[in-house]
Amino acid sequence: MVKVEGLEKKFREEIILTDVNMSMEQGKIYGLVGMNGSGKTVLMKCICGFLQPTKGSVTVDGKVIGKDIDFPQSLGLMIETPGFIPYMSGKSNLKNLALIRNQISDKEIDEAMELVGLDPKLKKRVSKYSLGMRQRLGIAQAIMEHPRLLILDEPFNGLDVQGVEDMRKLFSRLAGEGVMILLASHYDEDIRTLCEDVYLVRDHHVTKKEKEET
Amino acid sequence: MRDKREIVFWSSVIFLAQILLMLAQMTQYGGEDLYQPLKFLYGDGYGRAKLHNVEQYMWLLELSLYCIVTVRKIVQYKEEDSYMMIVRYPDFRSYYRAAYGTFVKYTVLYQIFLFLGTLAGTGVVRLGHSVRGVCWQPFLLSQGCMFLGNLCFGIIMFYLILHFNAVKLAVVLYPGLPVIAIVLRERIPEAVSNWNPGSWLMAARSSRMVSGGFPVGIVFLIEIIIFTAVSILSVEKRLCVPVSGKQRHLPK
Repeated sequence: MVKVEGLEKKFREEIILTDVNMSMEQGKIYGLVGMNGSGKTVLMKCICGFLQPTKGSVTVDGKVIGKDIDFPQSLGLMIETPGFIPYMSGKSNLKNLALIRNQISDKEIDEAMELVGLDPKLKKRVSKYSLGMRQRLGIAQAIMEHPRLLILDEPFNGLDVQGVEDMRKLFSRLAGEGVMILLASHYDEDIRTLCEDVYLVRDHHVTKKEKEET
Repeated sequence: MRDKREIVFWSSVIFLAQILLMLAQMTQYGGEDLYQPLKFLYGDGYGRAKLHNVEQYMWLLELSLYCIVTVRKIVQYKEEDSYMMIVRYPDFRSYYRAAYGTFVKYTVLYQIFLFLGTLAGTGVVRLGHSVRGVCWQPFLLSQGCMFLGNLCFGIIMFYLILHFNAVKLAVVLYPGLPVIAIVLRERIPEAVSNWNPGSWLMAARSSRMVSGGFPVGIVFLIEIIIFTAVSILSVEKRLCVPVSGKQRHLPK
């Protein structure tokens, strides 16, 4: 369970977010919508622990981020452009990442890649990947270690129609397995079809909206 | 596997470059006596010796190789490109320690292959000349100067890149300062040039080799202190707001 209470974030004197209150539970998909520059990514980074709120707090499973823990445990994350090593293949990049925790096998990496529509045997370097392929690889690295919390910043960018459909099914399935997913998107359809609750970021505030209002 | 291939590749480049450096210096001095390798390399008075272009370029290559080898690795840990990697560590400290371990590993590897290349280069040079013997003290002093200098410069580069995202500043620092020491040494008074930490990489600029050189013991102590202090700062404390917290680009 993720709770954001009274969160405010400023950069120097500029207010980005103020008085943000959110509550998110396991097994649900939450949407985050807002214009470019509204603060969606800043909010996601505060939840993940990369940014310290100026005021307020983020609590994940009862632990305060930045105080009890640096980042949420069991977190799968895709924020901004994933920073893969360009001269290595997709599988090699994922293997490198998996070695950090050393919790999953080669087979599970292959499964994650296949789930997102990538061929694990592909030797092509990531620098030669299309945007859509990189996006898929970014999702693969986020899900491969079976996280309980998934934070995805515009995961459908660059994906073709079939890819979007496949990812929607994947996220729905993961939510059914108890994963809490927070995803930011510009596309109304993604929010309408996928998310149970939607948060709108506008004028430095975050408000819970009915899906019809987005 | 890829990492091992990279290590083999760059190690070979460093090793061969160092042999070439030794040969380049031999060419300049027309086969003089090699009794003391450093005396041969730099002449009796380093500050007054002419630095030939070949030697300059070889030194620039060697310094650049260290920069290429370590900066490439450190940059992979840069926070704004590493979000998906960072969250896999238990906390920020573990992540910084992992990055630090990589930096130390590559600095040590660089030095090992530099040392082996210098040995091999000295051996190649000796084959072509009548040599009474090699004086190990200046040889080891030279290696010590390079190693401690690289550790000192390297940890500052590491700190700048990882905590301030200042890759360009790091690269200006090294090989910038050593390049100034090498290229401008004839134009700057020795006493002034010896204050340039870039000169501290070169044993031949030390008081053990030339009069008026930098005091090698004190310099080693300073470098060890800097290395230790910046190491602790780099790993134990997240001193800086990450790049994402500074308005280098508009937040989404």
